[in-house]
Amino acid sequence: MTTINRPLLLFALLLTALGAISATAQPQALGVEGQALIGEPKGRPLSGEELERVTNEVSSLMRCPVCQGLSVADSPTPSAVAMKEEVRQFLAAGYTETQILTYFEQSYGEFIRLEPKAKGFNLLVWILPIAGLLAGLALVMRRVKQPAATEAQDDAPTTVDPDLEVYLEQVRREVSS
Amino acid sequence: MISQLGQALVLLAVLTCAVGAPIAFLAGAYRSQKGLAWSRKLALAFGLWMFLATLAMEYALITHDFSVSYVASVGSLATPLHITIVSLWSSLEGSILFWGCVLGLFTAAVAVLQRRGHEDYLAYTLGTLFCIGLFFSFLIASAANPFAPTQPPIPTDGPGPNPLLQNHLLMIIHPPMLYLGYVGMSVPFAMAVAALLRGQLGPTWLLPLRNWLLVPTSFLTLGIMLGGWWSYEVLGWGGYWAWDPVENASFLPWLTAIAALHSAIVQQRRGTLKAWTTILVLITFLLTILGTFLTRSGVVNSVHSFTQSPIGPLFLIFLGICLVACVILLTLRIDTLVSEPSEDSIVAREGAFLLNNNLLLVAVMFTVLIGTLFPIIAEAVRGIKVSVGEPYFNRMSVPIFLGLLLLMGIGPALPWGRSDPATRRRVLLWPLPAAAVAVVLAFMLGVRNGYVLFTCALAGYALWVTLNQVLRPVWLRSRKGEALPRALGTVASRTPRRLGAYLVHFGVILTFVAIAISSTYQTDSEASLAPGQNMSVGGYDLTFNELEVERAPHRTSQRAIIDVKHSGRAKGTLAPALNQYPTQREPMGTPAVKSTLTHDLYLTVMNISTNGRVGIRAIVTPAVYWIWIGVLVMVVGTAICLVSPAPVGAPAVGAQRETEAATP
Repeated sequence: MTTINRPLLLFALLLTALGAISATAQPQALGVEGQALIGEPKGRPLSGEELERVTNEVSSLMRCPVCQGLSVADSPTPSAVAMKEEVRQFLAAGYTETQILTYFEQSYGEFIRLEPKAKGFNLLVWILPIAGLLAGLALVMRRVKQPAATEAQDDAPTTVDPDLEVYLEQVRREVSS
Repeated sequence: MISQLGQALVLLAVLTCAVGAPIAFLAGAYRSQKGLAWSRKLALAFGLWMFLATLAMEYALITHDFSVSYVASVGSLATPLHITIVSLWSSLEGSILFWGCVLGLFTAAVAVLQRRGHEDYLAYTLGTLFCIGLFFSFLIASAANPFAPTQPPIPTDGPGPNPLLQNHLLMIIHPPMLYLGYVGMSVPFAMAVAALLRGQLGPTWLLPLRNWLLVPTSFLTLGIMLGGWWSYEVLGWGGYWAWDPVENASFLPWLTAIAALHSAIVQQRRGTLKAWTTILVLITFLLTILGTFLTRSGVVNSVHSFTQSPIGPLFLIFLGICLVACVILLTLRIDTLVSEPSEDSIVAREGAFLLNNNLLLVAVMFTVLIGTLFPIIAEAVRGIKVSVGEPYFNRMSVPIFLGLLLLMGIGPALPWGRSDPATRRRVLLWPLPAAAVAVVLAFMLGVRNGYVLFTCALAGYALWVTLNQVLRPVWLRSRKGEALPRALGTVASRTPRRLGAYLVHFGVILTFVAIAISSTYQTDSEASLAPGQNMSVGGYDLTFNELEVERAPHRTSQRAIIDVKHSGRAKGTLAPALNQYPTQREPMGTPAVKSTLTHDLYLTVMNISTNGRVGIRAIVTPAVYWIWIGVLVMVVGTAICLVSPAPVGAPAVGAQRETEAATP
């Protein structure tokens, strides 16, 4: 289903095989790998609660490559767990969300982004719904405005929901009789 | 034996539809009573053949008749009886047969239930249903034939149904609900086609349409909810909605069906929006076919793509034919619909607001549709796989949903018909304190997130309006000296549809708030625990006790026994598991959930290492229970609307007046 056939996937799968718990040996290796691809960290290193929160945020923007449509943050599969650990280390080293996403995109392709980048052809997926909504709104406005001119001629405005009014009237009659 | 019997029954169904369609359409065109009577009989026959064919398949499944190919592919001697019975919908061929069965029963039901008050349209309605039935029975007879004889040698045992379908009881009721919803949309579609063919959308058309739309919509609501629940209880990622293509596919027709129900109200009250209601009903059906194509052809990735097969292209062709037919019919007839004398312009505010409700619902539908289809389009155009997932759908649809919640407050508060600005101001300002109270309450309960507080404000507003609409007559009665319970009873029995509708709104408000809270305030924690070690999450103290291994023929299940304590008090044990199926490479988790009214504790096993340590993910999510409750309230409300008689004496068109108005 995916077109991921790059060496890095093999690397990730290897990590999976090694197990997520043996993560302690990886920081330097990944750091070097990351630096080669995306340069120096551009943010500040995170730690503690904030690190956990941002790790979740960033990994929820990434697709788990072996699942069907789940994010890395949500997926319980070992590969996703390993990727989440990578994200955590990147953030702890001070890499930004953009840098991390770029890193994973270079390894797995655009497929990894759960939110398509608003660029080029992808702009369509962002613009079309909004354009559709605006077009619909214009249509509705046109239909509603039309009768506004005749509104002034209409006398005896209804002040209450006639359905309720009819019903309330019925109730009043019943109760008073 | 069963193989031949089943195929014969399906062929009879094909034949019945092939004969029924022209007879029904001719009966419609020439207004022939005799032809209509024949169409009715054939509709009953179609329902009967499909039902018997399904029974034959069930018999084959239960008796483990592996000479039937479908049984050979999903049956297994080791599978418990109740799972064997429901494995009818565990794979593609069986699902399509079940689909045909439901379609047959719906067709027969229309023939039986619509005897009176719908004569003008009935022949065409049945004709359209025969056409849909022809497609499905043909599919069952050819590309998706479950009765095909097994190639010898006939096996003595089978692999059993998909393991994912075996491990939760919800799987027994979730698919039938969804199918009843999906297939049921054929009936309003057929009625809309009939009305277009007839060239008139009289009041005799509207009330039956509304009912036949309410039935599948409530099944679909229930089906979607059960699907979310199943995904929550089984898939083990701690959520209930992932914006997965299959989930989206069930959500799309639901949105347009809801829009159609609302625009039908305007049509009923004001005689306007006829063309729009018709278009929505047509789109709803097309979306069910599109959804089936998407999920059954394997063109999209999904958690639910259990079944993929060559029937995809056939569905695409069917969708194309339906689409072309709809467009032709609309272009030929739309003028007669729009220029009908009762069609006056939208004068009243309610028109505007219901129209906006429709606009927003269609906007959500459009967004979800584009998001779901975009990966296919992008791959075709750019040759690159892209993903459109949860973050996109949330970002795009949440604001629209909040808009809908706002309208749910404003719409019902506004008077029907014209009103002066002072009245409008009064009715719209009146519920504002309720919004403020809701925000303060939420704040006191610890909500700090702006989005959630905003949702609470809108919900408070809408809740006040809803309660006001329901309770004002009660209050009036009790003020005049009637005892409160009696007043309540009288109001409920006099205006049940009103009550039902507002009950649905109440359920929606409940669900909205629960979703906002549960999706914002999830806390989770992961830990690798050795026996005796513990972890804590959201006030819970979890101790990993031991690992239990359970070996069954179809899987090996490793259960982590975990003692749960909340603020020092023991709350029992939970046993999330990791199951290894021989057919699957990666093990599959079964989460363990402890639900309370305020929050859920959700445990999954992420991995089990050889030295006996388990990786546990613990999630505490508030308010999840209220989502299920909210949806059930919606379904109960819909059911009340459905079983209640049409209002008499209200501005709605009464049943007696209908027949007169319908005579041309």
